[in-house]
Amino acid sequence: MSTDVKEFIDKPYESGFRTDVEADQFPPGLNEDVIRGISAKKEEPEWMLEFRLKAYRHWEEMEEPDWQNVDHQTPDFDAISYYSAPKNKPKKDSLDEVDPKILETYEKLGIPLDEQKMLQNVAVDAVFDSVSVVTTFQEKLKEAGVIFCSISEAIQDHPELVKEHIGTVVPYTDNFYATLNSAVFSDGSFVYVPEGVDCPMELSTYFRINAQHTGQFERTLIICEDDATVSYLEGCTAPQYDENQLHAAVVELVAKENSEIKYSTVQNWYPGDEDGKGGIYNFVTKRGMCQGDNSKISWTQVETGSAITWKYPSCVLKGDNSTGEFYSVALTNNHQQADTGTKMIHLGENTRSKIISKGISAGESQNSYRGQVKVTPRATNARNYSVCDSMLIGQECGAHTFPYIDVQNETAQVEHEASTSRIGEDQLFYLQQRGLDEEDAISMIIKGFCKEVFQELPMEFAVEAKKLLGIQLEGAVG
Amino acid sequence: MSAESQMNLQDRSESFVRALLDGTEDLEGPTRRHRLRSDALERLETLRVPGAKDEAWRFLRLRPMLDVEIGSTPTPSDDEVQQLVDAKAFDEADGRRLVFVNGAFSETFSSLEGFGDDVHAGRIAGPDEADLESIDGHLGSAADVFDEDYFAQINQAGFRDGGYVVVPPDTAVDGPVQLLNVVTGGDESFAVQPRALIVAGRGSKVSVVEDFVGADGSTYINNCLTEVCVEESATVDHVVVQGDSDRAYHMNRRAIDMDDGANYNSRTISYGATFSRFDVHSRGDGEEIDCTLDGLAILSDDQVSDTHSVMDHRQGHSGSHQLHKMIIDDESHAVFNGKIFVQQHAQKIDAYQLNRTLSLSRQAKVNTKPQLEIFADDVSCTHGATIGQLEPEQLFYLQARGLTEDQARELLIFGFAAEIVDTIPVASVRDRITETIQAQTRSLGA
Repeated sequence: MSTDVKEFIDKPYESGFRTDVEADQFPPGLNEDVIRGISAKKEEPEWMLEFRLKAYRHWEEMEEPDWQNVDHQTPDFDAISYYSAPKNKPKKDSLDEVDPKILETYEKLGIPLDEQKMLQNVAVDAVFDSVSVVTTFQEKLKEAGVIFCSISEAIQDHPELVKEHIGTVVPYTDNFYATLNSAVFSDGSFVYVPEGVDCPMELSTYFRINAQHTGQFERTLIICEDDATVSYLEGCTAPQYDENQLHAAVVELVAKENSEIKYSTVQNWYPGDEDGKGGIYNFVTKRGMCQGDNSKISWTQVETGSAITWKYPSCVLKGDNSTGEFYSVALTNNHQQADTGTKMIHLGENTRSKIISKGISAGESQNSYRGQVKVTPRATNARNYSVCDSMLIGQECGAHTFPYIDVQNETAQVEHEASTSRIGEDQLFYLQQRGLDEEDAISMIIKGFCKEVFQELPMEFAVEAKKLLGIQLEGAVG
Repeated sequence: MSAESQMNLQDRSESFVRALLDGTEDLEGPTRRHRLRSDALERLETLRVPGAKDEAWRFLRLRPMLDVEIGSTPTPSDDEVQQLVDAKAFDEADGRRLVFVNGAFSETFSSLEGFGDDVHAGRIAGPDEADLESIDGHLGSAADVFDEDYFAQINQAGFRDGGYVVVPPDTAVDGPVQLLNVVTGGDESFAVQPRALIVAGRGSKVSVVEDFVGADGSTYINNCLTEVCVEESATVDHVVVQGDSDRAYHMNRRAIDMDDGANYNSRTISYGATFSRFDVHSRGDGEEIDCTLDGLAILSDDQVSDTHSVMDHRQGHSGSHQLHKMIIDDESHAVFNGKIFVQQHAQKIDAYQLNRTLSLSRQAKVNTKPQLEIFADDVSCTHGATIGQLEPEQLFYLQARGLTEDQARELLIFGFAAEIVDTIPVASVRDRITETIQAQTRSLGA
């Protein structure tokens, strides 16, 4: 460690903060010293620390919003440890050491054995060497000029790119959890696609080294230069267990002229047990900026996990002729709560947006769609088409729709439609009469209900996502 | 929010209440209204005028209304009133017309002889006020959904008179009833607080037209509250026409209570006032109810109109229908928020809601939020919203058929409105509104 940095870390300690530089976890609690500590640990440049501190100071003035349609206890922000170095999880020798229940789920999802091992941190054999796979990918990307690394690495290696774009789409003042993230973000992904490049493969967090320990305050930044395209996958269908209850991530997308970013998410965090105890709070701010003319940002999400999902992947359609899309399946079961949707902010001329949202609620869960379509005075000839359908399974659950439509330009064409229904008895009867058992029939109806979204997912994801819905709904119907 | 602006808000809330309730101290006394008044005054202690931070009010600026200097209510000449009454009175309701002039019942213009012997109708604050047993248990009961509503409570605390129509069980009122609220006055601005109560007993049937009319140029605040109780298997047709003065502020609260098998059919037409706000709350606490809350708002210049409605399905096997249309021109601003609740165990609900906006000007603004909150699974609920302008193809088609561009435009705009207007059940009211709207559309979009 350079002496500068050393001094830097030492300085704030005067005010009483003590930490062992060698320790891999900070004590719980949040104050400016913790922020300085995080920044120093990551050997960040001064401007990054400034950004974090500004965010922290702003956050201190903020109150947690309460307009969302979910019921939860505000996390105790002083009980969270804001920095922990990636730890080496104990290696397991074989899958026999893994909880058979988890293996059963993997089996149903059709996750290959090698991947199962990777997910459970079982030592993998030479045939499936994850490191070598990753290296091959990295080389291929390098050839194309695509930068794909962790955001910490990017801050070190490409500071000018990060500095120019971070906080431009989701400013540090944006909202309570985004501000908190800006202050304390641990790690996340960074993607830069240079001008004219079609990224040669689908990028996935899954194949990024050390991606599995990015922690609870993830920060992702994707920049697509003129005429470039990229498709990014986040998460995976395999159930994710995590001891951190609060996850407050920020994702920023910047699409320049004629570029296209496709961002797909499958979220299957631990939803808590059947009585609603435990489970992850997934409070995420995701926003894409269609900065250049003719740019396009497309969000696809399959949200099945988490005790509470609270997020609105949005598009700011600034460039003329830019396009925003949002495809979502949100499934809640047992005591899960979801308040999710999107915002389409039309700023440029001839901007178009499309929203397809499918909500399925079962058990005693609450599922809300909340969205905004805003057409500003300058956005001549804006078009929006929104559909949000809800399906209820059982008598104890709820489905809610809160679509805000704000139009300030007469040339706008905005259409919104929504419906709420359940699986029709006649549909079930018809399928059963054709020889399907009830479970398969339900699964088929649900797949049909979500088809428009699934077809937007990359193929492997789509296959797994369909199975995932079936598993999540097991026992909910009947 | 800084302490100072909070202070201002509190001060403003209190001074507005004081201004609207000024001179109502004589309402203290052993009357039904006294009880409502004291409850309301108590609630007003803690209620504040809603502001931009309140979800249901965030698109509106109430400041201009709160800043209206409220003077004493004028007593207009009979000639002045006659003109306005003549414009709105319709033949079918002769003998069943209650006219209120600046909030006070008018013996001269009302005619009550057309009600059958068993129908109770008249003024709430008449000399026989203490004996009005028919309204006991009804006045103020449906309005409890507005217990937290600042403006409704001001009405509860300060209404000086109002109309009631109580139809006993198994009775059909022969023809439509008109509740005509006329407001007119001199140069000073003032406030009136109309109140109405409609009770349809078990198996009865009544049709009510509630008219609000004001003389253009008069500045006033019209803070109305209407309660409708539709008892078992009764049917109420309700038409509300807001044609207030171009400088008026129209605040309209309506609470509807529905029992098993009740049928409530309403059309709300709004074209007057510089600022209007409707809060309609329909509580369907019975099975097999059927509720229609259709509406039409036509806005031009810098008019603002906001409709917030709640359809609360508390029991199953019911249906509701809401088609709300808005035509906006110039720099006008339309707001719509329709909520449909289906409470737990209220199965077999068929709810339909559609909000359509026709925008004729680039400066016009619309905020809409059709909202569903569903807690039961065996339901079919749909809602939708569209915002658009006149289709060039349609204009071209009509012009190709020989219409001028203006005629084509008028026809299309009127056609958009007609979907609501054509369903008004009282023929002469339908004709009158058709004329009014045609006159309006002639100037719209030009």
